[in-house]
Amino acid sequence: MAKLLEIKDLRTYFHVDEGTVKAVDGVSISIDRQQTVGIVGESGCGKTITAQSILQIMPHPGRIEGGQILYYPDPDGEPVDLAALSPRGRKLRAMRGNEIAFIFQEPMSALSPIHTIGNQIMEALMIHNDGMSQSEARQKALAMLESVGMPNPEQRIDEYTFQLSGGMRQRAMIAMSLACSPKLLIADEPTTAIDVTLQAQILELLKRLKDEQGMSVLIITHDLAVVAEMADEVVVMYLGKVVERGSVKDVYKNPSHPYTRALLDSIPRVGQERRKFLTAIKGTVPDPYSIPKGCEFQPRCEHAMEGLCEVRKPEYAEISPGHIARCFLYTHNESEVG
Amino acid sequence: MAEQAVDFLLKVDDLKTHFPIRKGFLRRVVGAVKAVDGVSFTIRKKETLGVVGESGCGKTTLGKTIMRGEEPIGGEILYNNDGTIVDLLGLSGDKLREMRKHIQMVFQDPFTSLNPRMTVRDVIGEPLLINKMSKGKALDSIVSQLMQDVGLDAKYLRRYPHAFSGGQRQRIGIARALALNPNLVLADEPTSALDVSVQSQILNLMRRLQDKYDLSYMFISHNLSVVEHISDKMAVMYVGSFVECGDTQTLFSQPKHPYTEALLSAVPQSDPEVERERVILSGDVADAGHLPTGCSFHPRCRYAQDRCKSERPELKARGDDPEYLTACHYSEELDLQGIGGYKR
Repeated sequence: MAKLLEIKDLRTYFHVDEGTVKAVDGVSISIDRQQTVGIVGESGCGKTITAQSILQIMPHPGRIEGGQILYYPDPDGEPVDLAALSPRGRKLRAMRGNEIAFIFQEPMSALSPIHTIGNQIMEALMIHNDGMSQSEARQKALAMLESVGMPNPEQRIDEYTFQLSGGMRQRAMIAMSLACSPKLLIADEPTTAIDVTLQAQILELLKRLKDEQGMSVLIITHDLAVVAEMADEVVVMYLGKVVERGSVKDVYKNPSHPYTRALLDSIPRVGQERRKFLTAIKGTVPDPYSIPKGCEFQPRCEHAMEGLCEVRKPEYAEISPGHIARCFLYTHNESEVG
Repeated sequence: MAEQAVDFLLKVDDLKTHFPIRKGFLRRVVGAVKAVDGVSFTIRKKETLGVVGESGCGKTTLGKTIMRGEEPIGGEILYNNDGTIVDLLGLSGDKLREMRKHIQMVFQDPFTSLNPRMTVRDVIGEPLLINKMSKGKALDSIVSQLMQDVGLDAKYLRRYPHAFSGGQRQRIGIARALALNPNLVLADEPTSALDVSVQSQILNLMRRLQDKYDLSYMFISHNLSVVEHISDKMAVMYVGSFVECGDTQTLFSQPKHPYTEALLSAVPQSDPEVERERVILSGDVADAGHLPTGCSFHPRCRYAQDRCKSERPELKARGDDPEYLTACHYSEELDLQGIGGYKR
């Protein structure tokens, strides 16, 4: 299928007093049209910064230091390099919310408390569509609220966020992001702060809207099960790097990087044989100023090979077509292990 | 009472915690938020009871009430102190403090539940100091032992909480809870603030400590997979009351209450090949200040009948197993799907 977005060797660094945080360090991801890609990882792995880099909305002082973010507005047309655009320029502004939209974890902090939700949706519509009238925008906003399953949209459109329940706020935010029919929807932990029953509703909603609007979705989460449900492709990140990437089927059936394997083993799973103890990963994610030498995961890895993993950076190895893992287990020669 | 064979550690009977709703100039009480509304259960020694429910269902208030952090308006909390039954609600002052040693709590957020101006030694040792059980050098050695128990290096005794990661802080919280050698630990969402790789470490630690010190746990969480992993029996809570309570495996494989069925089917599966039918609940959780008549779940229940609108179902054994309780008029007639909604 035709590509929509191609992130190539992206580097987003934060230069702070304590040193340089390489939040995103050489990440490559590609998203096809109408595809759902999931990025998973623990806190601090750079998944959110990767997503924010696409629209250059990462917090200060984060900067894209290298790499390309190629966006293909037309299947056959020339791509635009979003990484080369100015974060405050008109070109990128025209893109935000219009071609590429973002939904956030916390609807309460993403929506304005002093505007009605109708006005917020209409604002997005009128900014991106020159000459759209107030009443047209209202009609469209109403239709959006209806399509996201907002109960009683005629009444709710004139209400403020504090009058809505958590689920309704989430729906209002999704309606706002989708108002301009974006080609790519980036959902950053869209269901992390909510209950399972509501999570199920929101995930079903996202799936339905994705099919209806024919858009692509990039979903960022720490929940492996959410990715398994939603995504076609999964990208596992650890300390700013992609450690494994492939189709959801391949990665979940044959997790190849020790980190992916450990993550899958460490979550309790409903309906599987009960284990008294979970397989835990030892240690914790190191702090970003003291990234381990060699392979980043090596101090916590069960399979670390002395004289190799703590010395050199591993390369990507192809496990099967389209399924890659960044680990020496698949690339080293016996002679290298010292 | 003495004649009766007692095999429970904690028995809660028809516990009710209501919060008044006040309105107007005179702050007259116009209603009540029924946060906990008639909850009964027992926990045996070395047993883990998991309590699941959506936010706002009253699971945290339930935990707080058992600790006497909130005052209930009715009910009984009986604690079995080596054969002597004590009603915790009848105690106050020194007597209550004495009993509190037996029940300790682990909190959700290790970033706010530890005082940033106290060293680890002070945090863990404080309960012992307050209860005048130890001090000075002896206290140091007890704290060191506790730190080792929870997998922390005792050389960090003098450090402050900010120097520790989230997982390590939660270990400190657990060490503090264990300082008084309790029999029962109430853990309110102990792993919700942690990353998955750290969550598994903490769950394993809790298991290990349970074996070592014969602890009973009441494990409150909204994460069904975690509760399934750790609990022997579990209770599903919906706006203030239990709708189903019993053996964990039975509850997951053959739920008897429609709310449990919906909750289970909502749990995402980390296996992309599983195909399943999902029960999507419409509407929102009922408002505990204005409960629906009859069964509080009936407005969202897809099996609801007329009887459910008027008659509130009692939580009781409806099948063969006297320990398996449900609060649904039709629990024996319905054929509900279990475990994550697998089609079988």
